[in-house]
Amino acid sequence: MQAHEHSAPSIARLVRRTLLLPLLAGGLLLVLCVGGVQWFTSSALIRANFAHLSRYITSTIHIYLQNAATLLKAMQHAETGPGAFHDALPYFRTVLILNRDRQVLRAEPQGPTGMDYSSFLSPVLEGDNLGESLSVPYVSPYSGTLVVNFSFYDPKVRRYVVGEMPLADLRAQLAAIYQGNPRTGTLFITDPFGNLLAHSDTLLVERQTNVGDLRVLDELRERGGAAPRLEWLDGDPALVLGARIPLARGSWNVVMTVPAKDILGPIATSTAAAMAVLALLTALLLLALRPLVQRRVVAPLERLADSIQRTSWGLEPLEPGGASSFAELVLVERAFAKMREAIVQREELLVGQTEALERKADELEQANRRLQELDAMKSALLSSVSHEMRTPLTSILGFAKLIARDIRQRLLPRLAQEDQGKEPGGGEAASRILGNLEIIQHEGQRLTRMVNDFLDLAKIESGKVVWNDREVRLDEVCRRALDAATALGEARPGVELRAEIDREMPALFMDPDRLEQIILNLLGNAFKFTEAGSVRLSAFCEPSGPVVIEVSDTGPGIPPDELHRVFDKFHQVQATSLRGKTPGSGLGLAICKQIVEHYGGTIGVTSPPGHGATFRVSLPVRAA
Amino acid sequence: MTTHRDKTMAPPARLLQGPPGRAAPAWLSALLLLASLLAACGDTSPLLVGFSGSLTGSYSDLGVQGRNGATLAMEVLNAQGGVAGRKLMLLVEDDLGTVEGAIAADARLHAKGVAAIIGHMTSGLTAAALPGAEKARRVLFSPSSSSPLFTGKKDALFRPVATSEDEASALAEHVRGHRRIARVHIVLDADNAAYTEPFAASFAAVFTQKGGTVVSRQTFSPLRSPDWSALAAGLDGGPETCVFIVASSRDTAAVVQAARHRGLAALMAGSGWARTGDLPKYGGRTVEGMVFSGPFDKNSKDPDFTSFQEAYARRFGSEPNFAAVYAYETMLFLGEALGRTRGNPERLFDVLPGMRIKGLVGELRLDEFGDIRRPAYIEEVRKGEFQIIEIVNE
Repeated sequence: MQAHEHSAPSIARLVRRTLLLPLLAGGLLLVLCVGGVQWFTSSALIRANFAHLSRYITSTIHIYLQNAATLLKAMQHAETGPGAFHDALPYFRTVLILNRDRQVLRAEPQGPTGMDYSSFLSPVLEGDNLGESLSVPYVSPYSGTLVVNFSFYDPKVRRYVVGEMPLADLRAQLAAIYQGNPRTGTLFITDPFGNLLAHSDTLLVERQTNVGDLRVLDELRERGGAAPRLEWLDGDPALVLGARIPLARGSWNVVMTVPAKDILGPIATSTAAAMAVLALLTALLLLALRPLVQRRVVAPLERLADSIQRTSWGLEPLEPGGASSFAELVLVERAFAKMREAIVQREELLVGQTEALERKADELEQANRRLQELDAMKSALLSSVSHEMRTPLTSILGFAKLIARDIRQRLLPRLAQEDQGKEPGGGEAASRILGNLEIIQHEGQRLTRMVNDFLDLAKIESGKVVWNDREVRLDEVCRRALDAATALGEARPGVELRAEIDREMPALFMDPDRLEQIILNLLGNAFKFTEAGSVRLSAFCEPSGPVVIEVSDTGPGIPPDELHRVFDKFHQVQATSLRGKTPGSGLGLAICKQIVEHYGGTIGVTSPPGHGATFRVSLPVRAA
Repeated sequence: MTTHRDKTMAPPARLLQGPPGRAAPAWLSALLLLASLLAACGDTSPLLVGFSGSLTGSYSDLGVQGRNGATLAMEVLNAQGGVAGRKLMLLVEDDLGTVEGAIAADARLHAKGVAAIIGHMTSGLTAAALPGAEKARRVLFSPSSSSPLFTGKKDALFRPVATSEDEASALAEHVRGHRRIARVHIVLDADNAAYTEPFAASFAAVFTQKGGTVVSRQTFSPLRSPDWSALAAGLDGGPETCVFIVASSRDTAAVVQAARHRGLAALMAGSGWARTGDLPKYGGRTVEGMVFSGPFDKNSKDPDFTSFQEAYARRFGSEPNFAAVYAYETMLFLGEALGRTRGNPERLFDVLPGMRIKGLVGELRLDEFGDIRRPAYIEEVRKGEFQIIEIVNE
């Protein structure tokens, strides 16, 4: 529960996170829409203002140029006195009269004559000597100031009259208009190429600045009109508006630039204010919601959480909060109550089942204890019986041996004499008795071995064996076992005993007699089941460590369904080769297994049907 | 031919000047800057190049036309995608035609972080501005400073204009050899002595070596409203005499007007400095027959040159003079060099020496000292036009 609290957001935070974004996004969209509307209305206002201004400027320039033209035309006669020049001088810094070849005939108020003035006249006049025209700006050789000239040609008198109009005067005209409109941006007048003719910054005009790269001027030149557009001036965006000032020949342009920041400024201010209010309202709303959410959502949930916690501890849950919870929580509470009932029922069922199981366990434990006691009694009985059996067995064997000796030494010679005399057949009877005695001896020895095996196994199982562990050399033990098995081999003339003993083997730390017992048991087993062929003993060390002893034979092998039982106590393999032979105790392999497992080793057997059997013992190499 | 993103005239901010007292707050500027960046849609900041020349005063024909030529080239480069992925932006300053003005103008440009300065238009002001450029480790690329004083020096100055010595020698040989003139009056502008003195000296050396005689040598200062009539009074001689004037076009025109007014019939000769459209404009018919050593073939039919002329006339309403041509080529040099250095201004010193470009009239190659060789064109004013009558060192 606590871990969950750390990883998951709280309800309050979830509510904030869920509500904040839509609220802010919606508000921002609203504010941006309002800003867009404001931009539209502001630029519309600027457009309207510029339309008004450009009309005003156009008419002012027209009137100004018209007045200038009227005065200039009045001077087409060179005979005109200085008074006429004087009248024109408010408009023109210098007035020149040129002849047909455009040489200066007269310069007012002063200046040299004779100069060729053709290159200062408007390019429009080339090939057209009629009418009036305005030049591009140039620095007057008379006044040394930047001027445009206004020229007329009168074909009747074949003279030009040229008035050099200082651009500073045009600026004054513009400034007069400009002052009446303090809220507009920057106004300027250009010639058709974008050369500045009038600008509030005189220096820009004096430096013959060209703004021909304004797209508005391109549009004015190409289409005669231009829509307001946002252009980048010196890396800053500005709204640029332009209009043509149509003149008698050619045209000028009036341009207004309004930095976008001047338009955006008030919008940004109001937008920022609106955003601040929005943020404040959102914060207030969330604050107002907080206690409500606490009371209606968080508190009932916490109560429910406590109830669940108590239930997990096995306590009674809290009483439901009652008032003012919400529908989903009521559903959860109901589901919780149902779940709790189910848990209680299952708990009761579980308790009953647990008790029954405990009873069963007690019974089983008692039975087990009884079994162990019985087993111990069995082992004790077996041990005792076996022990007790050895004494009479020894006596029986001893007496059988004595009887046989007496018969051979004393009875048989006498019976032989009698047979030569009058009563033949006594010798035969004695020989039969001897044969029976041999059977008694043989069976007695077998019984002794069996009893020994019983005792051996019982000791091992009860842990009463004394293990005489010491360092032993496996090859030596193997050789002793082979010597002992020679007798077995002699009993089986058709079976060859082979041995492959690796000399380079680590020493083992174990009881050498027990080791020999294992090998002999396996060899004995092999000889027992092999009629012809060979019995092989091999001992070697695996590269990975354990020492391996393998005994294989060429007997009939072990049926597959008996393979897993060969190490069981009292198990006898049902082999055809054993027919007519004395069976073993059925304990040899079980004893081997016990010994091998005592030393932490393994014993196993493989037997492909009809190809003999191989017993394999692995013994770990243990240090002393 | 025009680009509309970059507004290049100067001082540019004044075009945007609104009514006083309505400065936007700083945060608003930041907001607008952000909006500008968004609107620029990933454009990198413009690469600033300065222009510093005389935009007012009697040298202004070179300054105004040089600025216009550089502007036109910049607009062409920007239309082709700019330089090293950035648009070029020309910041223009008026050096006012004075040493102090030139130093101050360049300092302002360096403070704004320009990669190089195109300027100045006269050798005297270039010499004055050169230490400032070397201190700022920025290239000064003068379109029209042809003084031999700069020749063969490893400095911050580069120029696409041939040294005036070649021009002066070619003109002296023409006047003495072809025209058989024996006497020469030399009149020169003392305010631009870095150009006028070596030019006059080269002319005089060749002229006297060929057997001619320098009969007088007068200087004047355009900044001190010279008395042209008094100056003309010191000149004499008939058609066997030459008046060699080393001055700007307007001042040359004024000297010739005054001399002709006094009835002087001598041959008038001028330097490449005066070989601009303003000369026939201000000299009118008095400059007819005047000889010059011109720096370029105005009548070249090279398609680059003719399209430049058309573009210039369409854009500015007048014909380009040599200052406009050279400033245009200067900007081409700078554009190519800045492209190779990925906009790194300090590496311009490594890439400019030995650089070749296709100029408006043929290939141009800067030598290891940042100088260039061009043929000299001997021209005569005929009907208000400069006509080539001889080409030297072609």
